[in-house]
Amino acid sequence: MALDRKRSVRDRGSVRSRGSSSASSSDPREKLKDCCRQFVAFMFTQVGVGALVVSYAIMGAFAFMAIEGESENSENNDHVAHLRSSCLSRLWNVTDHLNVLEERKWKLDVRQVLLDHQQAMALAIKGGYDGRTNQERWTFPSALMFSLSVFTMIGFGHLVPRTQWGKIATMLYAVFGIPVYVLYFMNMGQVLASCFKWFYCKLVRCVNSAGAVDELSDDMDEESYSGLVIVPSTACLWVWLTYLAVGTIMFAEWENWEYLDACYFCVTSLCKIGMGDFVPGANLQASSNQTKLIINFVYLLVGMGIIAMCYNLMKEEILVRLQELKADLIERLQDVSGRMRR
Amino acid sequence: MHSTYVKMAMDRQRAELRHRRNRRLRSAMVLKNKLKDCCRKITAFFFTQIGVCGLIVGYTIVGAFMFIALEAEAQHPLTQQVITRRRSCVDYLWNITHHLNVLNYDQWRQDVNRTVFEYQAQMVRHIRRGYDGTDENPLLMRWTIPAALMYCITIYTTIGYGNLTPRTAGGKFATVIYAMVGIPLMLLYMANVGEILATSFKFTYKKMCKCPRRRRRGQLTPEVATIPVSQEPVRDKKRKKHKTDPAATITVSVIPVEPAEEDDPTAYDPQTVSVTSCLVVMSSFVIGGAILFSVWEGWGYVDGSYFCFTSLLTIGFGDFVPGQTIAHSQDAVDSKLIICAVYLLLGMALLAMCFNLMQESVFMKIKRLGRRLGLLRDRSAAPAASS
Repeated sequence: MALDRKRSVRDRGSVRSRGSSSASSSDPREKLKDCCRQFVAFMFTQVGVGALVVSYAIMGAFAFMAIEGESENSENNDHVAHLRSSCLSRLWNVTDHLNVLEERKWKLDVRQVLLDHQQAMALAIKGGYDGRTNQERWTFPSALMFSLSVFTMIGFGHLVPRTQWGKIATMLYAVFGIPVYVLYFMNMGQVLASCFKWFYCKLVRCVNSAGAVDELSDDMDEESYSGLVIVPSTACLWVWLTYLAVGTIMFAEWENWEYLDACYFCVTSLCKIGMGDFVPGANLQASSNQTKLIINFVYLLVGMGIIAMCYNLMKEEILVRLQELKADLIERLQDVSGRMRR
Repeated sequence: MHSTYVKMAMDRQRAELRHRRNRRLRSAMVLKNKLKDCCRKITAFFFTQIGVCGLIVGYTIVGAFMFIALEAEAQHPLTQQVITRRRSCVDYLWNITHHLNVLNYDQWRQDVNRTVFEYQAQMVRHIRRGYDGTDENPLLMRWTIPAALMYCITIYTTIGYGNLTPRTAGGKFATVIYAMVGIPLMLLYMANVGEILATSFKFTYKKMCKCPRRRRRGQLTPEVATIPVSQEPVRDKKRKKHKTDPAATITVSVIPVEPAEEDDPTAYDPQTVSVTSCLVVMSSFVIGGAILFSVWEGWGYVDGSYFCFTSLLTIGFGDFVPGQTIAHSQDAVDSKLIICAVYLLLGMALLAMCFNLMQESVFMKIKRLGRRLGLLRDRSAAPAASS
């Protein structure tokens, strides 16, 4: 019954395609449907998904700039100004009440006042103050990085929404953006994995000119292929390590970080942890940081694709190995039970 | 005759000895096999639910102690700079104060204001470069055991709050290694726990859904018993449904489970319904957590749900972390961190369960929707369309 159902569905499908190709000129509705179909098919290819991701990020950047950049973050600035004036009045009290200005005592007291002020400042900065207005903080590249960190689930946290609407918008953006990202991840992974396999096969074919050629010719035959499926796992690990090294060197040179810091940043970002203590181009001024942020964005997106590729390739290998292990275990169990019976 | 008896006895003795030897050998082999079996069972156990949970908990604890050992005593590299700058600021202030022979308040205030403002800008720069004042502030987060546990959890769940970060080179290196080992472990945990929760959820759901139907059938059977239709078995009664036999129509409900579901178009599809129940479970978990944390921490409800949302989706900005608001005692902070950690692990497990339950049905629904809209074709015709 299942076979009949499949056959009837296939016939229906082919009839539909035949119908559309021959009668396309006469039926505009069919044309539109065909167009839609092609568009959807295109959107599910790599170019379509990549464009979708980039456009979603750009759209999000503009939305967040509109929501957060326009808002007045006056409470924080007021709070900091208030802190400073209270610090000043305390300093004045200290100065005023020491009738004879004894240097050591005065310095001790003043140091304590400054320390308290500094700690209050640290808390205020944790609460979001950094000496800039919201307009300056939410520039386009920063907003782009923020949108990226939301839907790739990295979540740096160096720039966060402070208004209520911003937070609600972030939640909605995440809910719709994460499926898009997952789609990109799986698509990119498949595409890169097949590219890498093809490239690797060509490489191996060049290396062993004899014997292995016939085995390479059939694609899906697992048994003859088993000798080659295992190796790409280490190969894709090498690819990932190379990508990490490239990122480490790039960020260390640009941001003047230590190499360990840059490596730490690359790993925590690509693993989607996103601590946020190191973010390239997140420092205060400099317009060259705009390009740096965009290159960071591209680096992270491509890095996600490479992780997807490694995940794809390793999954196959692990499955094959698990099956082998299972078969081996079953064989051993049979062996043991046979021996026991004897 | 006697010799044959003796021979028989000796044979019997020999046979007994052989039996005993064989039994000993077999028991030794059995012992060895038992040991092998035990080992196999242990490795299989570690890949089961309890094993993976235990593994995760153990990994967290080990990681926490490792990070405390690496980070607890370390001073931030910028602390010395900050202290030096503060000392120079104090000296400068002293110069200002000392050199104004008559303390003119306005002049003094202007100069001091400028100095303090400069000092403040320097502070901001230092803080943005990573200095967080914890060396000198007992109220901010430090590397206590619950804080380190939380840190480890945020690493391998890839949340990564960032409110507590490693400062030493050893700590950063350890973070990298810990992440690369912990994240696959977490994926294993989620896969395992998600499967178990999904199967138990399906089981309880089916039981809950079958009870009302069973009751309905139970009500109708006494009616069937009173009808003097026939003594035919149940299946024949079902076939009679298509005839216009009034007596037979009543007996439809006595049919065993499988045929009834096939014939009845309004029978519930177990996969479809569990999507909504999944969403209900997830949203109630998020809302529950939001209410809990916003009441405890004094955040608003929007902030609380924002926190739960971003944490469970493993985004983890770090602007809201339980136990980070000041004016709490250290014990309160510790207990809040631990409860937050438990909440996160449970939430991950629930997410895994929902993902498990929903993936097939979501894909099926999307395909059905696409086919109904005429947007998607069957795979055999698709290559013709895309080329």
